[in-house]
Amino acid sequence: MTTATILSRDGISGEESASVCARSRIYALFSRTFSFPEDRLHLEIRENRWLQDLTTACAGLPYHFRIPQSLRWDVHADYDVFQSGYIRLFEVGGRAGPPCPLHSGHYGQDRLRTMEELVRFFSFFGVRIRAGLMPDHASVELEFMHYLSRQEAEAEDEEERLSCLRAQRDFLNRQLAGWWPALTARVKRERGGGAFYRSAVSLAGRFLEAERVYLSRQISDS
Amino acid sequence: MADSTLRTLQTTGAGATAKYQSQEDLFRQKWKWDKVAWVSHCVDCYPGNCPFRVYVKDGVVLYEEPGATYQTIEEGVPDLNPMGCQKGAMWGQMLYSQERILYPMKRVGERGAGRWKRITWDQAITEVADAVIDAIQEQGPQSIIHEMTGAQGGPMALSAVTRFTGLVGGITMDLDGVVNDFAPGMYLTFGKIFASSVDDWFLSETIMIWHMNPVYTRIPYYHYVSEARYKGACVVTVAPDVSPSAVHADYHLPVRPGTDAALALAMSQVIIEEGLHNKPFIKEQTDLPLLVRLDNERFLRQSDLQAGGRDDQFYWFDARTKQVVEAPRGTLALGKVNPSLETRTQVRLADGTEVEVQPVFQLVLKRLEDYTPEKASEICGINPEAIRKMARRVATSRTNILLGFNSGKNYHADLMERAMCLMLGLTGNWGKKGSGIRMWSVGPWPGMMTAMKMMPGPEGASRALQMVDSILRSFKAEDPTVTHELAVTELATRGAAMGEGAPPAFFWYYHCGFKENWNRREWHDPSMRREFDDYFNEAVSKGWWQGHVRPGPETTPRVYLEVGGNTLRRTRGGQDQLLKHLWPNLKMVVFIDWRMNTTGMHSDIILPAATHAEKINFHFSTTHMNQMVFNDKSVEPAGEALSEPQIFRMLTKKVEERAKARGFTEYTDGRGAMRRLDDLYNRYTLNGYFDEDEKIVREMIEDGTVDGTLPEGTTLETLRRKGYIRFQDWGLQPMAVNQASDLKPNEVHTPLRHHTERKLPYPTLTRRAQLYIDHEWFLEAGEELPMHKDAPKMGGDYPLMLTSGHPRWSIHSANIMNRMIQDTHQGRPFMFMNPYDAADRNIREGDLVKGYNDKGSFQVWARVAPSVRPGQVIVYNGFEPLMFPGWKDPANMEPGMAKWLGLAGGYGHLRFRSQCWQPTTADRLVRLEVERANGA
Ligand code: SF4
Repeated sequence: MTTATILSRDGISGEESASVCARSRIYALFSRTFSFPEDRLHLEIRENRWLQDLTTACAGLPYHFRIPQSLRWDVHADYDVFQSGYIRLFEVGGRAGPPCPLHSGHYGQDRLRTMEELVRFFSFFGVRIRAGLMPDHASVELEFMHYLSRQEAEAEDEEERLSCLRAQRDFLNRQLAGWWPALTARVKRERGGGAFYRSAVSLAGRFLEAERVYLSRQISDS
Repeated sequence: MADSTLRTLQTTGAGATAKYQSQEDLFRQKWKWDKVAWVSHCVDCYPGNCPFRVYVKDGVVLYEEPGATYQTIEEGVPDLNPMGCQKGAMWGQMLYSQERILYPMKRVGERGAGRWKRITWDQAITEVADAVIDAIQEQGPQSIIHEMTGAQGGPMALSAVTRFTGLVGGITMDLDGVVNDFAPGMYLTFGKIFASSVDDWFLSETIMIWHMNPVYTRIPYYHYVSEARYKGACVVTVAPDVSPSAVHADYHLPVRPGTDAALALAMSQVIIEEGLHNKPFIKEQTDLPLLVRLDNERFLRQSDLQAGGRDDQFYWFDARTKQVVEAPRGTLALGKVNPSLETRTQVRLADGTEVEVQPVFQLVLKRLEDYTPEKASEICGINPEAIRKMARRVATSRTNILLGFNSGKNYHADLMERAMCLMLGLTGNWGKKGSGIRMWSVGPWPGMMTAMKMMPGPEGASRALQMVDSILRSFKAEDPTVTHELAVTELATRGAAMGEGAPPAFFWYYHCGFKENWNRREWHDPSMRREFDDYFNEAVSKGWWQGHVRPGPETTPRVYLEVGGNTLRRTRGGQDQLLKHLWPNLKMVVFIDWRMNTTGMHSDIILPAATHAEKINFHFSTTHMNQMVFNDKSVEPAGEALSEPQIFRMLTKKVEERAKARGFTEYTDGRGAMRRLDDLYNRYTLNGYFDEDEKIVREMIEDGTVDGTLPEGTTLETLRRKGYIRFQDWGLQPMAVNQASDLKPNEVHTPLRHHTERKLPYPTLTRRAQLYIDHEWFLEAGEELPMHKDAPKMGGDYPLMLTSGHPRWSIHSANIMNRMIQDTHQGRPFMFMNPYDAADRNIREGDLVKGYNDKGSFQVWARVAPSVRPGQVIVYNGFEPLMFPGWKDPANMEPGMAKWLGLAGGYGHLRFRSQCWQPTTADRLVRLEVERANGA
């Protein structure tokens, strides 16, 4: 399967650079993974299609990135149990909220300032969040990276490409790569939530770190 | 162009505005707010009412700041600005807090297990609707319970749920009973509770902060205390501990816990002994000149003197004519009469017997013999000279007692407050600016008119007004001595016996296990002569609570609607009490809130409510402010949250739909009236007219211009422009009318001026400020006059006493999880303890300790502080139970004792109406022992 065919499932077409598309595709996959799980996603995970998609996209990355064999991807067969694990881990908890919130603002001192910077980022690049969502949700931040990397792929000139690259580097450094390690640590500590999300958080963390290294290298090379 | 690959984001069509170089570019970008709107924090931060502005971008509130635009009311009195507290200044943090619940959810494990699944709104509402119908079919509508709290949703939430329970015939528990803020001693004395505006404090010469800690709890208004002091007022704090407010006072009177009545009585004794009492005021305003029979200690009544005479006509001895004459019922004006405070005389009763009578004042003198400063000092621990000094100060200056919500939570709250009222009455210290005693009160409220309307528009408001007016006129026709205030009070009282509100005491007794607690005689005052149940049964069988014993023993509660409240934290006895006694019977616990809390964790269905800037609302109207403060909808609700009115509109529609589908559309309610469910939505929305929140708000404002509470021409746009508007009249809201004072545009508000200036009677049995209660139970208890009684050993015979207070860091349990605020305290619950008590128990700062008594136990972290007196421990209110080890907070060892006299009735003003006379449960001065927790 070519990168172009992977992307066409989401409607992206064209002659973009395969590696950038792979990066963009992985961000999109993770964005969906950390959104509230619809039953379709649950089914895809159970049927191993989710992992296949991810593995294929990883193969197209411009750097070496492997999914560790040690990670477990099994989920409870009952959708209600699966979603209640997500809620318990990421959304609703007893003491001061969920143990591992997916909103980055909860990992900093002042969520409003975090959100302001996000909104400014989005606004600079001509996007805004959909109603009902918060700008600092993992799925939104990951999708913004997906968007930027795709903009990079579609850039009409080098200046625009560099603009997208710098934005990705800064966004990653200032946002996702900043708080994801704390999320990973918290998820590791938690017993609830199931193997799938533990693995997904851990893998996304490795990916973000690989991206951070890749992007800074790209910019210093340019 | 729309980007179909995006799920959480959408393109705005603007594209990248420039080439990105660095993060600084983001902040250099020209920035325009999508919206700047007026809001407030519509929670129970009473009195609150701080207008704020929020700044919105891309549907997110990013900045907030106090409006600080209140105008000066009275010349020479500082304005209210800037208003605000540290919680309000960062409400955006709450709006986007971790506790937020954003989607309808259903429990998938055991109650309390914390396992949820998302469900659609339709599924959630259908399940609740079916549970409501099941409850009605199985137990009757009184099995649907809502405990009213001022909590989290503001007036729009309260009116949404109470309208629903009202229409289906469910029960809304009385707010003042539920939160135990009721001030029984004030009520016994004045027949009402009231509160001056906060700027009135500035005009005081002596401010007595008593059972209050305004440095913590009145952050927006405390400046009036400082400003009054700067102007020369003397500030006195009466508190057992060196409370944060004591630090800023001129004098601190460190009374022993629960001995406040002894202090006030001793001050009263000095005032009379030194001839400092204000005789004209006493004679005119109080019942102290009224004659009491010495044979039975009851007031001399017309019914004593003539067959068929009135039971509420009283007498005094006119020193001028030397005759026993009727004390007028329609006025306080003495005319030519000079009521004696001294004369003891004989009267002939209707049956020919002669009895001796004397004025109440003489009984007061006798009572005060037990409270000389030296004797009282033995009780309250205040130096006799300090008592004398303070008494002289009160007698010679405009004195204002800032009474907090603490006193009412004492078992003997009535005695403490009555003693304070006696002291103020002796010195003429109410009904004039800068004087009096304050509690809390609802202010003018046009929404009341809106709720009464049978048809929309100004026409509907006028008709509702006419209806009320004709009832009031009929009361006045029945008894020409009835004033507007008395008529409104009577309407509120009669209405309460027919309405959906109920004092929660009976619910607690029959359904929450309090029967057991209240019958622990050793936890009551030893002067309770009989078993608690004797009093309870007598009160019920004599019909003193006719229409209010709901839900009675025959109805098992089935549906519990928690809307913005937190009963498992709030209710005495806590989870131990409610999860054991009430919860097993409930088939459906519905939790409607914007944030998760302990009660939410134990519920069945969670419905996420919009909050703050996400919905149109008002702050709670209060006489402390007399401003209608607006909260605009500035952003769309996060997640799938909806406003409470939206939720209840959906629910009424669904109940109607399900009722029709189930073929159950008609039933008889608890009062024997027929109810229908097949037109519920139409009745809820006035035939669909109130189908949007904004329409309701618009209507409320416009109704305010009809009932005169708001200036003519006021509209929603006025509020949108300004953020607030000052009320110009009280309207018909009973607590507002009970202020008995004109609401003037350019003056601070001081209650009771109608009594002192216009000589209009009080809504009490004697039509005077009533210090003598000759109810048979009060006589039996020896409490016909105020006295001191020690706090009973609630919870058992243990050496320490637990006290509490509203905290600085949270509004009840809201904000307690705010991490920024948590950084300003320990971030976990703590208990203050004196170093001597700590040393005796080998407890050190930060130790985990266990508090326990015969009722239960809890664990908490110790804060060893010399500001707390030995024998006292303090755990401030507001910590969520789930913050304590095992989720057990101090409530678990509070038996919630209700003083038996609270059940007294069948006597003048001792009748229930909303927020007024009823038994409440004490949580202050519960006995306990504290030790290091195992493993600490
Ligand atoms: S929370 Fe209440 S007191 Fe604090 S700023 Fe808001 S309205 Fe004022």
